[in-house]
Amino acid sequence: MIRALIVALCLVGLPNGLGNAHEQRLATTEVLFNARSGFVEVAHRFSLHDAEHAVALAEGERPELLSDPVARAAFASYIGSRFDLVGASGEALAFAVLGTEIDGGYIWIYQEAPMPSSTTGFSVRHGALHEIWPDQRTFVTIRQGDQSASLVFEDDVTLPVLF
Amino acid sequence: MSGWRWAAGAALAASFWVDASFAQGIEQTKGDFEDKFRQLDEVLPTPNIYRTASGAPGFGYWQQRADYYIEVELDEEARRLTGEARISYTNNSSDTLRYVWLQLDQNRFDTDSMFNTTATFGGDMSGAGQTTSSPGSSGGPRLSLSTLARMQTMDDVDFGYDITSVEDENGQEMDRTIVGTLMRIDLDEPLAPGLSLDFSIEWEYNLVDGDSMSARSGYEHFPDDDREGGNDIFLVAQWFPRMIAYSDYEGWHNKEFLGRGEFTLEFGDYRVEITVPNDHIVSSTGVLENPEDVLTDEQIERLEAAETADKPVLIVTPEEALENESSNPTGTSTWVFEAENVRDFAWASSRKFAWDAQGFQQPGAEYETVMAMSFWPKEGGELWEKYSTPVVIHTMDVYNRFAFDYPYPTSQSVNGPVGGMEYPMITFNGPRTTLQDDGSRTYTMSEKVFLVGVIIHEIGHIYFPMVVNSDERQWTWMDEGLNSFLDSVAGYEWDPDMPWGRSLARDMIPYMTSTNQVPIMTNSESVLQLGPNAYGKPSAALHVLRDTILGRERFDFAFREYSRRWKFKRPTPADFFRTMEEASGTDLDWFWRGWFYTTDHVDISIDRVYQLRLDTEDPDIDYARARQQEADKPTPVGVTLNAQDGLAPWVERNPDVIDFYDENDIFTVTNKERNAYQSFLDGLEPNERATFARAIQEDKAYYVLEFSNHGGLVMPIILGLEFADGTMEKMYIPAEIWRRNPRHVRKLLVFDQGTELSQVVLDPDWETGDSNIEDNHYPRRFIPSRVEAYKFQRSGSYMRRDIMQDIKTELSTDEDTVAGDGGEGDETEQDAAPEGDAVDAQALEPERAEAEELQAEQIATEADTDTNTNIDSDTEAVVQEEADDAETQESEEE
Repeated sequence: MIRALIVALCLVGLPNGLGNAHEQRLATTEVLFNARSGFVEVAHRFSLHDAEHAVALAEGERPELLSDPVARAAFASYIGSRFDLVGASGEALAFAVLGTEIDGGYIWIYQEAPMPSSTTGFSVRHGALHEIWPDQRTFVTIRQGDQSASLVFEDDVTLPVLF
Repeated sequence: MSGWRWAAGAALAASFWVDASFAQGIEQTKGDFEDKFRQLDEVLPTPNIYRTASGAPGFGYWQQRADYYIEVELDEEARRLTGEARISYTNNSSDTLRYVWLQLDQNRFDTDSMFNTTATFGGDMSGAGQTTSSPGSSGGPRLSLSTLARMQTMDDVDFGYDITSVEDENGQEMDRTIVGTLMRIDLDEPLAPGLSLDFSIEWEYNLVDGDSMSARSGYEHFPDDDREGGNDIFLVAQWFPRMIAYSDYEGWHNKEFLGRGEFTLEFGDYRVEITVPNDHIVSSTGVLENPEDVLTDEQIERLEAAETADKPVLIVTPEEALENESSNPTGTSTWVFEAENVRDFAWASSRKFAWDAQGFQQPGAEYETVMAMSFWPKEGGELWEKYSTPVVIHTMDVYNRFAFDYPYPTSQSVNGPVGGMEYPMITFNGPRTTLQDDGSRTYTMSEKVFLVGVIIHEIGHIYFPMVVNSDERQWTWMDEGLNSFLDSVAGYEWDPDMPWGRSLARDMIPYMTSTNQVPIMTNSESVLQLGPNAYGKPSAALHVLRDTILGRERFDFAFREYSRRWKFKRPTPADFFRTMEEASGTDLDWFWRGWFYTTDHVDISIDRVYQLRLDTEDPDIDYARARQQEADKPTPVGVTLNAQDGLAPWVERNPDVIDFYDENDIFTVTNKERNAYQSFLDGLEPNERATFARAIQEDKAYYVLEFSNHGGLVMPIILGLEFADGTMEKMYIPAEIWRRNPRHVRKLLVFDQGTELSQVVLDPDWETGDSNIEDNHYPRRFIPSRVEAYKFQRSGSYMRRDIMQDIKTELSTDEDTVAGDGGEGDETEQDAAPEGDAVDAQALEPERAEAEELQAEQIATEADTDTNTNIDSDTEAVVQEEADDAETQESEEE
């Protein structure tokens, strides 16, 4: 087992000189099972400053997310690709990225998927920015009716939702 | 202890800590009543001669004093410091000390330090530079290059203090014991109250790489500078053995430094002689005492001019700094700084520094002219030249109003490898420009916001905790929370239109409803989610306290009083809580208990509203009203259907059965009721009769409102009342309404005759951070979720236009029109194929292309359906300029 882990150990790269120590590396995501609309709605909130630094680290040049809708769309698409809500059957919900919104110093990314037939036994995966900053932390709150559950992602992992 | 005893003990301990009131010796053993207003004196430390019940320093208040004379030399090539300190430690306590403790914070970087040996793999230790992913991660366990670099550096370089000598004033070596980041020095003669201890320490240590070690100090290397071997910026802090605080409430504050909880220290005077390569510029706590030895005549003249300038004056211009970058030292020079009444001392040194200064005038203050100064390398560029020093001045201007006049002669902002950190008179701030391919340096709006925000925050820290000397190693929130609150005020006053983050109560809802949080009153090292816990939530709480509960006048008075009382002294949370209560004249125990001692959140609902009308007791009035009420009820459906079907009732078809009761309904008044009414009136005392008569005459409108508290946190009930005539009224009901039932209350509202309440909205301005606003409306109203609101908003409005982008559009010519379909899609295309060498470049890039495709599709779709032109990207943002408050960078600034 130890050998397997050592073999599997891989590197994640940070281009020298692009890293800055003042990122918040902290994001929040709210997942709402909206019975009224019939959708599972997801709202991710990232610091605008973090988002720009992350894109700069990944792409080598820093976007102006505030004024560049294409850069925002790319970031939203990336975030969407790092988030999954997996049902009891093991199948991930098919989320569509609705778009982004700037609110104060934050960029919001919105997603939604049709409400699945079963709304229990979910797991959440949230790996956004972890491959860039392994110490990225993302707090996820899942709300379903009167129930809510909170998850903290300090890794690109999949965690069960326990109400 | 045997097994069963141990188990029983554990169970007892668990139950003992479950209920705070039980832990205080108070137990609610009947029912489930919870006293949200239980007075805090059971929790707060007992007042004494050192700290009074009103939150002020007591008549017996004392604190120790530590004066330092230090000589230190920087070995630039070896990145090593060598220092000698002569320390004079004065025992102002009433205790006799047989030993003294010093902080050795650099020992945190020892390979066998508690900090290093307890670092966990995969996960965060905030500030630990933890850059690993656990085996459960998608893609397997990972190590970042920076983590490997850190590990290799620690293999190659010996970090931590090398204490080479500790001698008493007679030159005799003193016994010492090092315990991690602490060192005890045993005294041959006990140090009696009122006496001073003079001793000296010599030490050396290797500076850490400020980038890879996530330190609050260290060097940053610039290999590409036009100088063989490149250049460094040295930020030097927590760099000498510092006397540990000894206080009335904790004795020696000898808690290991684990990286997050910073420190509290003793105030004292410093004289520090800093020897560096003679082409360096040094920024430091204190005042430069020998400018003639280290500055040129021109620099001295510029500094003098800066004292009265109305704009920053360049002492070292960016051009001169650039020239210095390629120079080589011809020797060393010693910069001498002196600082009075500071609790620490830090400095920075580099040949890369440009330097500007401007005098900040504060007439009547101890230091009427404060030299605001900034030091930055070319990487800081225009961003620093334009904003840093003005922001330093702006911060003092705002904080002086809330606290006290800035109590030092200098206030500095230095750019280097540290994102944000504060020391007396000097702060380290990280944001910079970006070098473009064409050689220019640019910055984004968010980088500018971050720079302005972080400088405000760090300069603000010179007030809290560098002067109001709270202990961050115990309570992060005491300086970070208070300072985040104030920096948000200052940010807003700098430019309300900048896209600040915020920490209002409404912004803290996701955190405050989460299940993985701890109370604010938790030790710094044990706090989960440090940013929201110690920065955001306390800041939000203070905004609520100021703008909603106390009002600005009372809050500001109390906050100033706290600042004044504890200026150059060491407050505890109890001192803050007590002062704010005592000076504002308000019992806030429920507020502190709810916001700082629990993890409750705010969720109040309005469940029901019903109208009452006072009976007149006059049967001729009340019976008629009752008849009308009955008449207002809908006719039973069956009766209506019978009529529609032409089914006439029996009594209609057989009028002979009609009798007295068909002509006199059950609301018919007889003299029996009239006589009873008269008897009722006769039985009233004259004053009762007058009261009754007036009530009948006024005929007020009575409404009863029912509320439930689902979140647990008791808060004022703020009502937005809307009336049928279109008028509105805002009503404030203090939180004390919950004192006898924290879960469900009813409130009677009385209005003038004929007033008709049409709608009630709870917390209409979202002041309290109510987590569920759907049940804040009566009658209930459809409240869209955030995603629904976004979908609705983007469906078409002026707000959806990205004017910043659209304004770059060139006016189409006739030729373009003939050419046909250039337009929007082309304009939004960006140069793709960025050349990042990061692993993730490939990960992000396809999504960017996908996004462009997605956008093109959506444009096409919208073009089909929306003939009103205005074809915009579906993914564009709506810039909502929330002007109600600015905010702090709540997470990783220190």
